[in-house]
Amino acid sequence: MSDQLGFLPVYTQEFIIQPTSLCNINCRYCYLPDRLSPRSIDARTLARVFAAIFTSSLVGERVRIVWHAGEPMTLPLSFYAEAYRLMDLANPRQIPVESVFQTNGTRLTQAWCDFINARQIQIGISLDGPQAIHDANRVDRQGRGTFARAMRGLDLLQRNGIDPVVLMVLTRQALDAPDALWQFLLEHRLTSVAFLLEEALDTAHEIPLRSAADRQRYRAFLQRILTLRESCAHPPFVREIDGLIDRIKYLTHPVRAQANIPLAVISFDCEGNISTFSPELLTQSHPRYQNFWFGNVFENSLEELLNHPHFRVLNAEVQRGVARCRETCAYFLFCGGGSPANKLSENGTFASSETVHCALHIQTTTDVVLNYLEHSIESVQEGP
Amino acid sequence: MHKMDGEAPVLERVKKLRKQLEIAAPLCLTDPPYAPCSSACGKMAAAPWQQFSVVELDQRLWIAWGESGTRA
Repeated sequence: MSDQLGFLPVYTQEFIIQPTSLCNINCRYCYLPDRLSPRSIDARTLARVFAAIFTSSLVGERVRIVWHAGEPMTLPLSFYAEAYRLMDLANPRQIPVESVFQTNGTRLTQAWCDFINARQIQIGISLDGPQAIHDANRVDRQGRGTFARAMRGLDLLQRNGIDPVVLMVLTRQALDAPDALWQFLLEHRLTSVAFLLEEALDTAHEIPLRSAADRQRYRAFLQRILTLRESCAHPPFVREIDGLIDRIKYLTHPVRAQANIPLAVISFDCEGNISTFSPELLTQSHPRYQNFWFGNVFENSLEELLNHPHFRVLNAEVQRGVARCRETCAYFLFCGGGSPANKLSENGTFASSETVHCALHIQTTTDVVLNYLEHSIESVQEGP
Repeated sequence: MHKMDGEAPVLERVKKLRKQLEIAAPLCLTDPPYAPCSSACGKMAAAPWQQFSVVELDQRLWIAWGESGTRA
């Protein structure tokens, strides 16, 4: 299937299923609107979701399914036992499935770990670092920190041989504490981390981390992480750093961003509504666009999204934004045109280019890593 | 490599870096930050196209959506 930009063929990289919008905790930086709602997907809708996925021409050599919510583990384990049975039924060709739970870790039990191992599920766990940093924002509905509960979950995973990827939200407080964060990763034998900068992807909240001082703070943070990484025999994989080094060294084509290529990521909510582009759009509403649904599993195949009138208008706008990035931004090579959800939230339109998210997550990271590699090579060439 | 009109400095830096990295080879993959291999680990870097399968190379062409956090 050709993508809308006309260069490389594309298949869907991730199918994201939001089986419920409910979350059992109440992080202070969370911008998801429906996290108190107990709605959940029923078996009939889920069966239609799987049928849509496994009969689609968008499926490549494997299917990657991410359970994302809310907190997916607010639904009982019996729900997922049935869900995976339905998934198997919908997949008679036995296309290999990689599945992922993105969880806050607070509901993990031994039974969950047994299920995770039996199904070879990958786990992304949200941990913001040492207790003082984690509990500053990751609190429950009573305002109590969730560190102890999340760490019990991490401990259970590790005792069961499950090596999770850590998703760490960086607030100003965290950016000022790179040594503490690094030490936390090492002490808990965490092998892979992805940093997310605190953001507000809705129209109601002010964008955090937007000042020049924040950019400098993030730059200093990354520089320190690089230094700490050098002193480590087996440093954890840092997605922002190691992923970029890979790209700098080996890429022969410009990167593509999942979030702005139609159908590269497809998201489903518990009513069977279908969306694409940034998955955050699935649960958002907007004064100009109303919602970002381009079909429903009871009425449409995934391919039909491309002909949905709402999609066509929106895609044209998204692609104008990507074109503007390509024409104006020196970092396009490492970015692929940015995140539509951030563009809408910060600039009020998809047909725009730079955002605070770009300035930090793409531009600052690229600058810091390029500087680091240049200096590393200079010192190698100069010798001891 | 994608080429933009009036090539931007960042692209020039990447090109120079790649050239220098070839000079600095062989590289040791187990020894960040990509210093010449001085240990007896035996894990000398293969040519880039030998290190990754087609699927892995394809994955490296994508900026993954950030939330799932489970892939580079």
